[in-house]
Amino acid sequence: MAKLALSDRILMSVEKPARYIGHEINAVIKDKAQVSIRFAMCFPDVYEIGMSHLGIQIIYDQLNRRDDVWCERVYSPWPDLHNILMETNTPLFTLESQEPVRDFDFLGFTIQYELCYTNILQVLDLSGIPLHASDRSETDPIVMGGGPCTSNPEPLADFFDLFYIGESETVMYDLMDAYRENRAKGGDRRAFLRAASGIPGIYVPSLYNVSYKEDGTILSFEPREEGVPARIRRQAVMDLSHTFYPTKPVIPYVKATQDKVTLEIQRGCIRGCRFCQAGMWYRPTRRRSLEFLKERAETLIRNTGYEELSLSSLSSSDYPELGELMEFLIDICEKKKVNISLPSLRIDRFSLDVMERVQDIKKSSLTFAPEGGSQRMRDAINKGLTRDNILSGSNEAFHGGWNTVKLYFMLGQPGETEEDRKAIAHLAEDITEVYYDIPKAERNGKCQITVSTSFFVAKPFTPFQWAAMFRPEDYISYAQTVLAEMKQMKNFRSIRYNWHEADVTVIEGVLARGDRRLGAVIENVYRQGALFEAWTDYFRMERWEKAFEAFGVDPDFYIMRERGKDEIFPWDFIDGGVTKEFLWREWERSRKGEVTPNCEERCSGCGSLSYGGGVCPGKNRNDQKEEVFL
Amino acid sequence: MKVRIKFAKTGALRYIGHLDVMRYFQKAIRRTEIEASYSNGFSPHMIMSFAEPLGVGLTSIGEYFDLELNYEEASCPSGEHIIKELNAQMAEGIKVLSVRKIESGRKSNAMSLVAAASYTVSYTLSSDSDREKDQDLLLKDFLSLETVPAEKKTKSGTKTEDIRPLIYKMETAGVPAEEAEEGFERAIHLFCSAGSAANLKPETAFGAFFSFAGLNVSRWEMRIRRDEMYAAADGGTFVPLESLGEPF
Repeated sequence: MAKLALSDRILMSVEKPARYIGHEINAVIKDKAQVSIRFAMCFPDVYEIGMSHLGIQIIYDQLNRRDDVWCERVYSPWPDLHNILMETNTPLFTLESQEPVRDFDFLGFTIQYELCYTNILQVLDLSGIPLHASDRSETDPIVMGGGPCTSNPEPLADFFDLFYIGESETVMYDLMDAYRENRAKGGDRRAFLRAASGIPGIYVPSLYNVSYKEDGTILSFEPREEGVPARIRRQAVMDLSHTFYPTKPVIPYVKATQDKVTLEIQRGCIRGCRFCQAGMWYRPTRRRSLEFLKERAETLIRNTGYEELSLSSLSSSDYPELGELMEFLIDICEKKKVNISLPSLRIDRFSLDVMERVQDIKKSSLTFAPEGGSQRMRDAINKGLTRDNILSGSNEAFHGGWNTVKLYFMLGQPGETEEDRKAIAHLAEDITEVYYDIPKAERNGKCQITVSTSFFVAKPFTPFQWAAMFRPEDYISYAQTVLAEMKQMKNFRSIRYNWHEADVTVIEGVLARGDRRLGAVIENVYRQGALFEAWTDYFRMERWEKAFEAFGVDPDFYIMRERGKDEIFPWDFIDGGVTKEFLWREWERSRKGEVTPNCEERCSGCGSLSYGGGVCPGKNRNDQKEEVFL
Repeated sequence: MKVRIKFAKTGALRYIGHLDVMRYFQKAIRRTEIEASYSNGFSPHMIMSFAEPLGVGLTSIGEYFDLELNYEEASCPSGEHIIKELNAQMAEGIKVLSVRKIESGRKSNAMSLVAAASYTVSYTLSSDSDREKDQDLLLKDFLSLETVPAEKKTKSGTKTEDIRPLIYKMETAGVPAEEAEEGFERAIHLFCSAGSAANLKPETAFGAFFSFAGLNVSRWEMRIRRDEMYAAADGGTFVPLESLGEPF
């Protein structure tokens, strides 16, 4: 009889008990007596979200390939179980062995978005692990974090023993080896952390000292001890065709948010949109070989039985052999009746042809992400999508039978004017005109254009890291401007408009560019009961306001301030590849409305050439500052 | 060719819901070489039909679904081969027990055929005074009631209905091995109406009995297993769904 951590009584009283029982197909079960390291890997959100994440599956596979490590999974218990675990004093457990997390050697978090920070504290708290790294004893797990939010881990510095800056495929084994070595030598927790700090990409926050100027900005950020590196180099795997990639991902029983096989075709993006952190952080663009992708697609379909395969990438159309890959996938998927989905495609004749073959036109819609309404705005954010691209793509699609278009924009970007906001409505109207220009007999009823706007959040390692953001009421007024203009449009009935919440944007903004002084705020917000804040129903602005007040933290310092060129940022200790000089040049070009060509057209000297690979040949480099990299 | 697949769902997997089990089998079948038939269109799906959904928390050794296979009778792999292929893909707790060939057509559909089901409830009494009560006698008294009102949840709220006519048989049974291993001490067997016409939930029937008998057994102190599902046969009798198909 399979072991379960929770009693029938508890499992029968919570929503979706299958979230907590483990035993999924392809879950890895090992004999704990035969391994020397037990690793609990956590996605701090609900099971269905966590199980949709490719990164965890990669790490799970990578670690479990080692005979001496058993990697298990743990997710955030939903509030119903959270309360029961608290009341009954039941320690949080992993899914595989159903044993308490606090007995493990490592607890690793993937930190994907700012609003999950309180869920990280939840997992620590329910596990019975002290929230503060400084309060942990020899018997507590080493708590580590990785993922995109470690581009600025500082707001979480109090809670983590170490951060792994970069991709798991690189130094994860070195870290495991260091742990075993330290234990063999009889070294304690502190000795391990000191040793780990010597591994490229590993950042141990307790080994650094931050001091602040009177104006609140950073005066200095320095190692406390000799031999601890002053800068941490983000680790990137250069050959994505010869590295870890699971062949047997764990298949959940509960329907995951992404109930499909994910095939990551490339990492990084050549485009250089100035608001986009992923586009800068994952440089240089690295592609998996066609051969690798073909083999892995077949294996994954055979080993999982999923009915859908999804390509994953920041800009799929930039994969050079996409045509050949699609031919191959359509062919093998036809046999097993597997559907194919292709996100992030540029809309052109090629992609429409592909979509016609793999999707039901009547049910699918066309998606454009112009991000800015006017050409001026799109130039400022370096979004290389023109009005012509959008209108001619729409025209092709409408003639092909589509009649639904989704448009995504951002409001509140640096330099945005009222005219730029109004232009969103006009672009939507122009698309409806394209549709209604088609003779009635040839078109398919009314068209439906859905416009969604989110609010811009300035992120570290982007050219907009210097930018000021806005107050919630400003954001809402920007959305109102768009809505009012929309209502003036002739074809308003064919356009739907929705916008995101503004409060959430402000908190994301504070945390994204925050520093160590925010640790107390996050902890206080968690203590007030905040959980699952990424879920609109669970977010409460009042808690944050209360916590800012209680700790004398002014959120405006983090969001309302345009930074100067020489300000030391909390994340400046990270060498992410792209240089601060490049980002500053891009920030200046943005303000002049200058477009920067993509990486394949011309090298702009961003700095990631230093990784020595990717699509980054360094040729055609015309930039005056190339000496920075050579 | 259409086949009826009988399977067991036990252990931890009793917490997997009905729709999850459906998706689980679709994936499992795709992982084998067995060729299922699919519907047409852009999102083809397997042509399968599950008999009466099993509630979350219940185990079963008598679950069924019908599946359309993409074979002519002559070229179809044997039932034994299909069982072997499927069982190679099962998680601990789910096991395929039999595969039978059945007639095509809606009338022979597992979903519409179910007319009765049998269950075993295992439980343990914690108080000594409860232990002294004679289960056989209590069952006899319970079954001699003319009406057994029970609350039933409907879309608009709850209503009270008489479940006595839906209970065909209820008697003391031996505790099944898996439940005995977990320490359950007593068991009752129930044979009752099931299916779309008049479905009796076993927890409702057992709950009504325990409350009639004055026994203190909450929902999580009992373990319910579905033993079999039946179709109506001639002369008011019932036959297991499995027996309507032929081995191949």
